[in-house]
Amino acid sequence: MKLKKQCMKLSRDHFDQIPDDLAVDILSRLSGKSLMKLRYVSKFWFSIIRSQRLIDSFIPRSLKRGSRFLIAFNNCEFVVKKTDMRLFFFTVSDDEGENKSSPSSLVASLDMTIPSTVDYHYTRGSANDDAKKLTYKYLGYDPIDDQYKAMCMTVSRRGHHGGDVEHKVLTLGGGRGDVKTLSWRIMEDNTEPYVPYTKGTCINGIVYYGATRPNTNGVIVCFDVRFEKISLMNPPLNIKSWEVGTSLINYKGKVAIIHTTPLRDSYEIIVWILENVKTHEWSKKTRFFPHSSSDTIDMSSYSFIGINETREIILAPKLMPRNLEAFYIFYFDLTSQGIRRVRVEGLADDEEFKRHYGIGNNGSCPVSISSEHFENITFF
Amino acid sequence: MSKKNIVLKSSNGIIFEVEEAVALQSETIPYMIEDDCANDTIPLANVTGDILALVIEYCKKHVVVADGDGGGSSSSSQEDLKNWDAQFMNDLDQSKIFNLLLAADFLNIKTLFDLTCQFVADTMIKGKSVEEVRRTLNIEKDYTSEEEAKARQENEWAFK
Repeated sequence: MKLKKQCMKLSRDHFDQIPDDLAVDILSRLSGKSLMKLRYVSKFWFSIIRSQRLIDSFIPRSLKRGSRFLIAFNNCEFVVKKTDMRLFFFTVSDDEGENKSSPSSLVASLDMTIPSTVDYHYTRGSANDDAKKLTYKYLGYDPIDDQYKAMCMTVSRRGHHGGDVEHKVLTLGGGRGDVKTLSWRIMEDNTEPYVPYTKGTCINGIVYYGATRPNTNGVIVCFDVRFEKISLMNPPLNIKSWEVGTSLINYKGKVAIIHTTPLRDSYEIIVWILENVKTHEWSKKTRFFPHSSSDTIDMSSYSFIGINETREIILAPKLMPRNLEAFYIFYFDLTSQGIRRVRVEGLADDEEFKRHYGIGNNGSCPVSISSEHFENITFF
Repeated sequence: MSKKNIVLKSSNGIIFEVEEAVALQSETIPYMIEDDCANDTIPLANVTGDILALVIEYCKKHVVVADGDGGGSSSSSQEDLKNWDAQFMNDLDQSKIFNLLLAADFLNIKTLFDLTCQFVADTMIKGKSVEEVRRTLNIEKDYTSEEEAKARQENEWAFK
């Protein structure tokens, strides 16, 4: 009972005299990035910021702030020295776009940059190398045990006949100390060979992604995060194979496949939604994207990334524009047939930034954009 | 019906008489009335007079006035209240703000508690470096310089 709480008057303005639960409440109002840094204010702050209480208080606030776009890319295409490679994370708040005046442009701000450890030149390798391994990584969340897991899938390419497939899994956890103690477990399964084609999306504890199989139709791979099991599911009958411009997204908690076909004066966009996971019942919605609206973009370098609060599906680039200038994100309303576009600027468009990180104007730079970014401090 | 008044007594013996509606923004005071802590005067052993005066000033501003039609309406518009809150907090020194925070927690006045927490986060912590936060909040550094340098190196991105 609160009445019993001792509440002495502070003689001075020392924060240390504020009780723990109030300190938690105050700190939970700061951004994840601030908290990461503020752990080093004192040992007491370190323990508070890594406490479950702070996480529990932080997450509802983060969700309330609304979703943001997270835009990630690296400068590997531009730098020669491995030590200069960096990964950049920008965020853009989309909340005005959802509710108020639907702005025509948004400004991204740099959230963080870390040294990049992935060597793209290396992983691409040479096409002649038959024994070459392809690696794909997915992140999944198990809502029952409240646990995040990374899954790493490796396939060794042996000509056109596919090769050995291996799945490894890693449990990520908050407060369990050193990253170095984490270890990959090899999953026991005998899935037939496949090569992932789309990005993965995690829905209700299952990570889904589209994949191709040698000499047969495309397939949807389902990774059960909790039980660490792989299973395969057929896509809608009309989709025989994955093509450029086919995306797999989370459509309000359902798996959806979006397929784009170029027509004479527009693109036909078909959205297949998995209405029933057990009976594999798919529904279908069709939309058109007139060339008059899409003339500013190259569709092959765009993909659908998700859906927003107002049920608009979001089309975003897979490649950064040359010179890393501003780009467009498109929103398609599936009920009203409306299309709007938003210009995203502020991504490395200042010369000083480009010079500092060695970003030049050659090469195309892959970008990963996610539309439902919420800050989470569980991994601290 | 005449308006009922409630008498509050601070830890240093200062008496405040306020309308019931003003006092009942605190979720703690009703318990004290039920418990019949005192005949008519409610002693607040944890809140000094100067802080209690601030709490009452806040509660008077935020009291929801019941009008004749039975519906409630706020005495000021939302926008006005927001501006008033900002000015109210800005006029306080840090020691008063911390004591107000403790009082709002003890008296369980949710909006005042939220206001003070947010104010501390926004004006004393947000956008500041580790050193500035330590200085502002009078927190003693208990990391060695080596430990700090190591942390900084490992989490370089957060310090930018």
